[in-house]
Amino acid sequence: MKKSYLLVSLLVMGLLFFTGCGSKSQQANDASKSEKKKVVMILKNLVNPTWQAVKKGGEDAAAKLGVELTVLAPLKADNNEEQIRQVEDSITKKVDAIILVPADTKGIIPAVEKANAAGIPIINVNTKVGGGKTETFVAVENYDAASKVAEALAKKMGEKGKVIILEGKAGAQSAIDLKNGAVDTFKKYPNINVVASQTANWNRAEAMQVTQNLLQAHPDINAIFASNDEMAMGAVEAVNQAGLTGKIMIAGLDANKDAIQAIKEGKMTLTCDKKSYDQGYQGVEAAFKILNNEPVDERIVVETTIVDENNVDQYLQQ
Amino acid sequence: MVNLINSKNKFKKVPGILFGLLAVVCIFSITTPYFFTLNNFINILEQASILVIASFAMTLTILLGKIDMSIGSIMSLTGVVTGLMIHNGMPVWISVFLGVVAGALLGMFNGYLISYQGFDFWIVTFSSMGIIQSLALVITNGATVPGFGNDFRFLGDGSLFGLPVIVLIASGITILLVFLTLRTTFGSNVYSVGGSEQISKYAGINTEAIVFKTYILSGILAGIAGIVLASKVNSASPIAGSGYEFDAIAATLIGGTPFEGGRGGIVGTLIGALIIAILMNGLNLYGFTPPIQFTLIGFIIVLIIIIDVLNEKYKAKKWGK
Amino acid sequence: MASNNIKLLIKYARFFILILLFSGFSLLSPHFLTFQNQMNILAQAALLSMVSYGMTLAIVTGGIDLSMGSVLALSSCIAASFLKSGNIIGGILIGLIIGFLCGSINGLSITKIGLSPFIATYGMDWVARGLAYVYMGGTQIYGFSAVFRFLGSGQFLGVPALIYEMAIMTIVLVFVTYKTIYGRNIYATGSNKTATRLSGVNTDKIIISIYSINGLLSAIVGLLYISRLNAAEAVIGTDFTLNSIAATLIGGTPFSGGEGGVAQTFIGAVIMTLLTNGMNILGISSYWQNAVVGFVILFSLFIEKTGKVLSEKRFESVSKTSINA
Repeated sequence: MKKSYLLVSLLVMGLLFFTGCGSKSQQANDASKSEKKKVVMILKNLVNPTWQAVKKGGEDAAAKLGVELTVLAPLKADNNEEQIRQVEDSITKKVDAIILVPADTKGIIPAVEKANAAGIPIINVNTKVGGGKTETFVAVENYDAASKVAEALAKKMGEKGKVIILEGKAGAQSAIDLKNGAVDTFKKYPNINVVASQTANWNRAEAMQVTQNLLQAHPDINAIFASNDEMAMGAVEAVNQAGLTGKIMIAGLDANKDAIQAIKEGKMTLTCDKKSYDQGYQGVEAAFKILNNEPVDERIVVETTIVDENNVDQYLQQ
Repeated sequence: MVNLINSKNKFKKVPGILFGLLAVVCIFSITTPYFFTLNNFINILEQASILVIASFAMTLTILLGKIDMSIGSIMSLTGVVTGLMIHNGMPVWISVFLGVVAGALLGMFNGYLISYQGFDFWIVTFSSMGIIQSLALVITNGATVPGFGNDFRFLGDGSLFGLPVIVLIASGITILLVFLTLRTTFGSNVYSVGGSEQISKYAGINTEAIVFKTYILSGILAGIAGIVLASKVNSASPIAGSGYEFDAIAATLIGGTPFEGGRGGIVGTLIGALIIAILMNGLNLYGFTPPIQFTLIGFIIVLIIIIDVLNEKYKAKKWGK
Repeated sequence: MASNNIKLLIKYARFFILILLFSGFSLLSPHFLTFQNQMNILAQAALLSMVSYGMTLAIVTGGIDLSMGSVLALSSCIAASFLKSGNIIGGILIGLIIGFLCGSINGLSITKIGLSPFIATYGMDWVARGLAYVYMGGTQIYGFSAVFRFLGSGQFLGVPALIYEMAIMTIVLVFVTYKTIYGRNIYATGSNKTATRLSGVNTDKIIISIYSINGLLSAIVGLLYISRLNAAEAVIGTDFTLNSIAATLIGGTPFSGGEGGVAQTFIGAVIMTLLTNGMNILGISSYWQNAVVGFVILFSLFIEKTGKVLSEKRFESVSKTSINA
């Protein structure tokens, strides 16, 4: 029996070891800056560079404005239910405001309603919350961004030709929005044909494989529209290996560093800077204003920029 | 005879892992100011409920010495089916009932292939996992089924006697299953089939029927979990349940039901699921980012199990003496 | 004799599926049966098959390895920072060492502590993935040297380097598992651990070595993977776990242990890749892809069962005639 107590105390010690570091810093925060406003930012995931940029923007704004910011994201990327839990946990924690990037427009509503009931303001960023009360919507909406990219790509294609679309994860909100944005835009051009549309799960390796396969069936395509830069880079590799670099245009979204590099090298055609950093920054700024009873617009528009060979150099310098 | 040995084992595993649960609760209570409150406990129970129900579905099949990899997909599909029926004007209670029936049918599909066709349970449930997931995507065309009326939302979001309905549902199911597994012939047959299918057969148990029925039950439970999930998030996504199977396996194993089957049980799984829910809640309250949470959850789960295993070994030694 | 027949039939069941799929796709699409596309399929199958070999070895010993995808990510991410700085040999070595260590930890916690393989590797899956995220901090490392890139994306005599690597790996593992005493001990451990231990084999050592090999395989695949993609990031390899289980199962290695093997898994991996390739070429919606894989697995089960029933019948008739004679 003694030994089993020993084991339990071992467990307790082990856990204290793992959690101790976190609690110390938190207590320090509580003591010294107790008057700071507590804001939680809940993202779709933290595995994609886009959300890292949103996080960075938020943290910079928080440091400047003197807000205590905690960034959370579901462990299973884009998991709606986990996001709901994180909103619930934040309500428990009595935070002052929640900055929310929902993984699912409709699925997140119950959590928003709970925050409304608890009187915690919700600042909606990037993807629309489908119901409940939100203070403001800071956004580049995926549908609009995809339309803009498709538009720019269509122009570069001379408004004619065959294009394939690489979709995000089947069933995910942003995947559907991005795909619809692209499809609806290409429809406006009678001479542009979407010959195939397949998922590559946001994933570079899968995009490479899918592109290789699609190139077998459609060797004569003119362009590839990828719903993010990760997949665009996979397509870049596949096209490169097929020896078709320069003959097939490749467009992505997010303006990740390696995508910009690829545009500079002429392997990729264009991407869209969704100003992820600004989205995070403005989200925290809006939260700060709301908590200080300053007026905030119902919708804060973040302008997107198309990055192509004309302006790639200024992006490379950043 | 078989039952006697088993019923001892059934209870044996519980205390060890209970220490783990208490230890986690103690640590979070000491270190997080928001943790040890009635509100947060209700919050945790509410968050754990769906995992608890899904894990029971898994535990039953693992008790048999088998597994059901299709639980997450069944959750997605039943949620979507129920949601679509409600949107097409069916009364809520009929939609919910038919959703559960859909779960039962899917369980029946698995159970039939495993028990009466004698196919490997891993392969069957793994295949059906893919097939059912595809069905959910195809019938919704990939899109989430949007919000429902208040009568359906009551299941996952309402409260009764000051407690969330979802917690009451999970508690009711827990009590029913504890009774079913520990106090009925069916339950003891499940344990003996898990202990040894061969011996059970010689002892005159219709093992095929037991396996078949258990998978139906597992499908029903997964169906309930899927419907409650759809009600809680007020929408049904075709990928809502994906990944649940692994969490459910983890809850079952942490709770002391080993893959070999025949040992452990519902109560252990309840504790296992609570440990997972508490870990996630506590780490969120701390505000750890996902990378750190990932690493910590892995460490802590393994640590708890190592201690449990060492404890068992120690006990076994003492018995040996 | 009968058991030989059954084994042959089971083996042919997979071949039968493969041929069926192959001819089906060839008939349905003119783009399928080209040299280019066949090379394409084999090169795509290369990484999956190598990870699946590890999964198969674990399953043959009666275990499972859920950590391979994450170990692959962790080892290749850390290796990538060395590779990026131009230290190719150092990078490769570091990657292999990390993979080996993770695998050995799995093996030790299974044998020495007595964790179930599922839990030990499930925990490792979380930890390794978490460490990879922490290490990368959400960034990517991209743009490796041409020498390193040759490993994963080069070509030799018109055939992708990956195909040679897969061939070598397959031959080595087939030889080790089917033709050596060590290989026989792996199967013996899988089919009856206690009996094998009693007959004087150190089963713990066998199991530790298998998981260490898995760690190494993960690291090798990780390196080839980042070489092929020209980028390393913490999310890579998440889908390998389920896909390698699928390839093993389609190949016909059962979870009960002691049966099946690397050669079968090769066929399983090719079937998986062929399916995706064919469906992409035919433009079948991605929503259906999981279902098709599931149906193919179930279909092969039915064929296998029919094969067994037939061979048993033949055995009965043969024994009857011999008795009569």
